[in-house]
Amino acid sequence: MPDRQTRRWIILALASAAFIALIASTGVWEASLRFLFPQESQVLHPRASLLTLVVEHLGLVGISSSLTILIGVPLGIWVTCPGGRNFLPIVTDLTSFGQTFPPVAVLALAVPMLGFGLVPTVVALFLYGLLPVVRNTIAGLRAVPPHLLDAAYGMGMGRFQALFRVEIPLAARVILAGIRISVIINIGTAMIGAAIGAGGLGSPIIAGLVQDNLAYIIEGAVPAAILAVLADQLLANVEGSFAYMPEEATR
Amino acid sequence: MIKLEQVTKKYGATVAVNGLSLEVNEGEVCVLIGPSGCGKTTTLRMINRLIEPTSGRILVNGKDTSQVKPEQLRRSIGYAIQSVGLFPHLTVATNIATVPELLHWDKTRIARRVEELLTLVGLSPAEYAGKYPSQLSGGEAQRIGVARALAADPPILLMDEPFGAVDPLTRERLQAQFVAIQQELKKTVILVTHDLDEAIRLADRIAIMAAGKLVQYDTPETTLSRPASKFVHDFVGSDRALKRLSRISVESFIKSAPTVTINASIKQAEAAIGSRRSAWVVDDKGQLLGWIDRTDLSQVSSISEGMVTLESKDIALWQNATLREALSRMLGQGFKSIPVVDEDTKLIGEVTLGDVEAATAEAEE
Amino acid sequence: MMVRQWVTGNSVAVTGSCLGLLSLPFGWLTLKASRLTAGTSLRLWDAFSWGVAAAIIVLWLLCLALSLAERDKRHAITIGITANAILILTFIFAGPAANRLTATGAEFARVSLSAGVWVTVAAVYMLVFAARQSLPDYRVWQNLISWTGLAAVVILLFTGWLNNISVVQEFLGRESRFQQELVKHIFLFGGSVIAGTIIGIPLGIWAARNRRAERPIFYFANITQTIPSLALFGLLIAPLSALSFAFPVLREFGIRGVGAAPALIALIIYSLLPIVRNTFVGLRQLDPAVIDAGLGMGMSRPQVFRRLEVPLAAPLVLEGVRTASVQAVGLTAVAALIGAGGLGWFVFQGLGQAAPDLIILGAIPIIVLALFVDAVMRTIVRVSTPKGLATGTS
Repeated sequence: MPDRQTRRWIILALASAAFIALIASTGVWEASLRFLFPQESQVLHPRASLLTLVVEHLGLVGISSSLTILIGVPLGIWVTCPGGRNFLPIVTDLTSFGQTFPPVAVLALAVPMLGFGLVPTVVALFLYGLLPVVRNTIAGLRAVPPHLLDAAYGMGMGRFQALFRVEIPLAARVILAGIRISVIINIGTAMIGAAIGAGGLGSPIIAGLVQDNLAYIIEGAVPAAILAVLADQLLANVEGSFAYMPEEATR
Repeated sequence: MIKLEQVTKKYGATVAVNGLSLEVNEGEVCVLIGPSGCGKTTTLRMINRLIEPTSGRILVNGKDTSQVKPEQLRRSIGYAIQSVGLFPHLTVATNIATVPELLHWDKTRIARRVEELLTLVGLSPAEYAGKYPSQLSGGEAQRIGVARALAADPPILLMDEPFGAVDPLTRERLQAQFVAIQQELKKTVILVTHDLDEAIRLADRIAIMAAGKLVQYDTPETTLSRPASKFVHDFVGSDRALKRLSRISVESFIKSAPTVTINASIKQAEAAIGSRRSAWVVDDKGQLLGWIDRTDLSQVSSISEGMVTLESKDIALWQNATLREALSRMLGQGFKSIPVVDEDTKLIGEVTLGDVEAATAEAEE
Repeated sequence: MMVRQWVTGNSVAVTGSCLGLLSLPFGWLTLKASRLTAGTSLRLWDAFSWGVAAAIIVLWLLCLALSLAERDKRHAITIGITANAILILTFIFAGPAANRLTATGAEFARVSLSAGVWVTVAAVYMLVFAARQSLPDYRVWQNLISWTGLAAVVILLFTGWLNNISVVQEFLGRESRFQQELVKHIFLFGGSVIAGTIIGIPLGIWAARNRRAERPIFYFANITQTIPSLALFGLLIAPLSALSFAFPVLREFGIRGVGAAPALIALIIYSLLPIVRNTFVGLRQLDPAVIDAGLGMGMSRPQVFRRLEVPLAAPLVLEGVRTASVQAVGLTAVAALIGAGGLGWFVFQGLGQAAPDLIILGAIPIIVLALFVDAVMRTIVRVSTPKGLATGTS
């Protein structure tokens, strides 16, 4: 009997497969939406198939989150190292200050600067997604008990070795929690990105609002909701597979 | 004053307390003790109805506790627990004033009482009344917990390991203070502990429990000298005699000791020592300074030259110390006699190993 | 101690000064033929005069020099003052510059602030932050340095000095609408947070007291929190639409498919998780000995709740309300998409018309509102923290 973790993975894998199958089967969608909204002449947004929309959306989130991780985690590490320690207060201040900014506003402000389309969306998603990742990286690294580091140095580890063998693995769970928060927020913000021409699952919803077509709205809303919940559970599982959880884990 | 009649508590199939019958007289300190899981804490908490008995009656002052509203019952019983449970958002004074406020005392009376109690537990009201629990040390917090329990002057006090959460040194001091306070206030106290030494030191009667049942309920002396069963015998341990020494004060054994003043001449010192091996050296006020050996006397020209200076703390005993401490000093310092001093470090007399032997022999009967 | 902290501020100050100097090659003002067209970028010396440009350059160099030099508190104060001066100069001269440019330009010409100004603001922030850091014991100076520049800009704004800057123009053209949407925004987010608190706190208490209720409550709250806001709005539109179709009387109350109704419901759902979770944790983290002592001393259950649980859990619960409030400000902005109104209306109108100033007119107040709500709630949390918890040995 597989243990609880493995069972969760299996369930999630099955759910994801079902989701993909569902998305790909345009016929099923067409039929169900037509059933629910018989009054609409068109039930599926013509611009692109649902599958394309999901891929677009995942692409947006994927690119911006990858950038966020690539830049945010090292930034968090640098700022907790003696080299960048000088910038820790201002970075901490900025990340908590920035968290109060509504993501919509950040996305909107990207337009006057960078125009419409993919670029401003990705930039806005990247910037806003940095905040939880950097904050959690800092918190995770700081929560490593100092006596463990002491032991590491005492054993003869150099700074980088201690960083990669002790600090980062111990902080991994908290860092992943930050990544998870960032990704989920991004999935939500990317929806609004459709309003500035970035595509994704937000476009049928916005089209539906404009054209007063409920079917379009549902076509966008349901897959988006399922996608978000699935992604959250998947990432939570990844997070959970890291055993160490420090006492002061952040939210 | 407190009477438990066939009190039983069951949790499903588990019997935590099994037909316990116990009577505590007014002004007595009854200590409930036993191995963990024996039901002592459950019993305590049934008295103030934090736990309701499955069957049986508990009478306080002749009245059945189940007939009184729990809140009212508890306001007339003091309650002190191990983790103290001081309210962190209230000052020390407000904490202590909790029950009096629940009883609607007027403000001046409460303020006076808070001052009284702080002084009673040995903390300066001016300094501590306005402090918050987070600013207190473990020992201070426990004392304030006791003060809080005594605030409304309840006739009965329930205590669950009240001195448990501090270091042994502080615990000893707290226990001594408790004994002093109890002598003054004469409350009816039921105290739960797992520390046998504490039980022996504090109790008028010890109730030993095992698996929910009362096994023996006697004075400490009787419990130690006449254990009722093998269980009790093993529980109190084979060094019963030694334990008994902690209930005997040195006061009854103090004898006068050969003493010389530091300014005395060698001849006078020789006269004082007589045939003994050594004498204690005091200053002209009578305060203990050290001791001098007889053999050294013949080799020096003044007492101060030949004497061994002592920090009184190392060897001397206070007047109210127990024989157990005396024995401990003797063994630790390698002396056969220990000086006893009063609060001003003035030498009163000494206690010898022979006295300890005599006391132990008495105990063996 | 002082020296070490000054070193901390030092590198930040140096970076800030360099950033400030970097603002120079950017355009500072943009002159557009109309609010919709792109415009020409004007450099600092073209936008303001050469004199002003020189002054600003000198001030930045001064900051740089001070940041690199010997450290003491006078340097910190000077840097702080200089940074504020740069900020004030920028905005003081932006006003007349805008006046001049619009007067001599085309009929619908607009002047907007450009990258140079924003980089300057960022650099000033860094310098002010660094200066603050180095003056830990000088609260008066700290506050002066932090707020003077900002206060000056706000005063300039309100006295109409900056009226010819495009964003302000945009605002002046729609003042009453702005007020309308602002009020709608406040009602939406305020109403949903209040409702969320009324529903969420009892749920949190229930979850804390009752182990069996805990799991389903958190399951629901957690899952709904992950659903993207636009999706949740969308999911609520359909049933509400159907409902108002079936029961036309609902339309009298303004409950239609789109509009404020689905927004409000979704906003309430979103504020549930932070409030429920914080109430739950607030009650659970209470030392059980405190409750036991309270009961044992003769407090009744309601008394224990009122005198012990409420004051001790209050700070955390209010923190949850704070999180929910700030979140709600942002989500309300999105709700403008589904016709609920609010400040987001300006954002989406601006996006639709490709009018950047309109976008900014919506986005900046939303951010300011979020920051304001955050600050107010933080103060409330601080005030509600019982003294005994704030002091102490941690």
